[in-house]
Amino acid sequence: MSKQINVALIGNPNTGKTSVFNALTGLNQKVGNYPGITVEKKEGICKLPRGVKAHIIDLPGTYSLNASSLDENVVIELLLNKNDKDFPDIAVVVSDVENLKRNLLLFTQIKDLEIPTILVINMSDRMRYKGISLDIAYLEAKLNTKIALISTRKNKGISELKELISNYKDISSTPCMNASEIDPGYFDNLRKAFPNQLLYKLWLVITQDVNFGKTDRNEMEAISSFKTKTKSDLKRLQQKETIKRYQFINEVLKGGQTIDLKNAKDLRIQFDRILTHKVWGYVIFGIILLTIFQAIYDWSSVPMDFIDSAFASLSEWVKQIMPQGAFTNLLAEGIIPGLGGIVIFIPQIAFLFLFISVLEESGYMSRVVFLMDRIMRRFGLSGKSVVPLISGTACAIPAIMATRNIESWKERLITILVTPFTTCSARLPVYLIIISLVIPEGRFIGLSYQALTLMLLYLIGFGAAIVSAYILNKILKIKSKTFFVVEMPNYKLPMFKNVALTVLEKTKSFVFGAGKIILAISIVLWFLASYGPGEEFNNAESIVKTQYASQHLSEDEIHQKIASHKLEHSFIGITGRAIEPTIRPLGYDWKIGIAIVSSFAAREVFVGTLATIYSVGNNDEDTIKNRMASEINPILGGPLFNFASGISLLLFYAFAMQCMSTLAIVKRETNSWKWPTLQLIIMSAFAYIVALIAFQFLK
Amino acid sequence: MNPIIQNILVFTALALAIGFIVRKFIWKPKSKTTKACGTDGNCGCH
Repeated sequence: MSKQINVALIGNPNTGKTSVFNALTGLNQKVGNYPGITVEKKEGICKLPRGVKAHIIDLPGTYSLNASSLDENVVIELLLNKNDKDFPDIAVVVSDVENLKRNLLLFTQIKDLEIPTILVINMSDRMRYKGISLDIAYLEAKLNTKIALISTRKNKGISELKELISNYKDISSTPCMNASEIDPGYFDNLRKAFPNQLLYKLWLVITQDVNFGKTDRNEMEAISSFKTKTKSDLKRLQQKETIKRYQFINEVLKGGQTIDLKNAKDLRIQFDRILTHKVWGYVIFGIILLTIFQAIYDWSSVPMDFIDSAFASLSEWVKQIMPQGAFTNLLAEGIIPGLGGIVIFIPQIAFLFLFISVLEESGYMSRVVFLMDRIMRRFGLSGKSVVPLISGTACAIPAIMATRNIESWKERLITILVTPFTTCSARLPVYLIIISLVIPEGRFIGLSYQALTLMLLYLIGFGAAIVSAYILNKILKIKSKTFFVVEMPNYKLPMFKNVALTVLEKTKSFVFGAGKIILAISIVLWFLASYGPGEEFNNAESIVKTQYASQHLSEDEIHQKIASHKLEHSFIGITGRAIEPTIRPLGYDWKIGIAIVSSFAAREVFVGTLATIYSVGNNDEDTIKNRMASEINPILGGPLFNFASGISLLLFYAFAMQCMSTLAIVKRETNSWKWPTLQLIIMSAFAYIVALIAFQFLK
Repeated sequence: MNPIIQNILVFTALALAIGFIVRKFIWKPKSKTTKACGTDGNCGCH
């Protein structure tokens, strides 16, 4: 049986840690959460030389072992707990060749924990452009470790790294410096009081604001032979420790690293000057957004049409090959159209995440955060609020959780309350189908009206978020201050593998996550639309035939009338018509009303619901879009989805809080039902009023 | 396929679907709620 070892990948953010993880594990990886908290846990398996298998954990990025966030706690908790099943046999600290000095702070701390540690110096391909040269042998000797000089971009040095990991027993676990020199007396006392414990581990337990596993700070304070220091004294010692470490690092780098600026060919400063310019920065960002939305439309139309017609044909095929009956109808009229309503959006979702991932990978997204900070501050938010607002384009839930790193409670609360306005991926299917129905296909300076409308909706969502933040900032009487620091990573060509994995993971989670709900809701809706109480439903055929006996309708027309009569008197029809008076002023019929109610579970359910309702009793092989386009407004006549009702629906979905899970997460993050309740009432009322005005004005 | 079997399949599917919706949105087992979110998309919103 081959031996399996635990390897912890640790490093500062933006050092390419995830790229190293991807290079080592390939597709043998899974993403989860640490138990009890919502910090992401990435782990994978890597086959090493001589039959050794490595279980690799990609720990959250951290600048040091002085924890200030949940993410950093995870790293320290694991490194301090030898009983943890994931406790590493070897730590791999990933650093970036351009920020070696800063990265080595974390490395020296981990070495002090006496864990065998390898130093990975990533992005070696950039050394030439930066005029950097390294004396690896000297660094290895001074840092008391083995170094792997790699470039994940060029796929260089990975096999050497694997070789080093497989020889983990040869890696030194001796610290490279003596941190106890900052206060020898204090550390001597500590050593005497706890002779069996690792000194640096004790120091970390004393100085952190959290208790770690079995080594409880209170227990230590209870031992009379050891007198701890006041909080401010400990802080002072921590600062002294950091200074001491940097002195050591400077000394090491003086002998092991040379930077010849004359040889540097760096374009970063010039790029930054343009991309973060107070005018050109915004113009370029606008152009990039326009290009993205245009591409989403242009590139995905062919695969979308293909998927749409494939599902229509599949329904028809199921009806032909299976015997007539309730289950066949459930498959052909409920499940297949319902699932088709989500699968059709795979191309657009994939393209959206492709672009977002490219922007993140290239380092441009950090420039956007910096750029937007200028705007955000005027609305009572900090630059840190930009991250949740941008990540809200995927889903409001992780975005709301990302507000945990905002120190000011007021700014955090405002960000939590306004983030659901950001256009999330669940709104995308609703927008796309309505836009394709009500916005003409023409172009304006090469940009299609449909792409422009989609971009406008994203801007409306973002605008609604910052305007409401401004109002909340004026209303909420909570005093607090915060600061904003963002690291600007270097510009890089996005790595295909990283981009591909992100797109795959996001698309998969969208389809499988939403797919299960849509499948369940489609089954329930089909049932409610196919069964009903009373004579009107059960005797629909004879009622309709008697009613239209004198009109000499064709077989197909009679069949259509019966289906329509049954639907109206089914459970869903009765419910829909009960709520119809409230939504009629917005230009919607009862079927749209049902779709709105069911999409409270998740917005994307809207399309699946309409696809199911319109399919019940319909024998034609037709696409979802065509079925929606042929719906007639029962009161006003003409197409149900016209410009007025379409715009009204788009605005309703732009502003309404149509997401049960978001409300649950807001409750959890604010620890109160007050905020989600207010959010639901205000957002829904606002959405209703705006949709009403839009329809009444445009009809 | 016998109409009775078809009806049994329909009602089984319906019961499973309702059970899933109830578990997802109304009654959540406690152990599930702690694993709420992450980039794996298991954020409970879909």
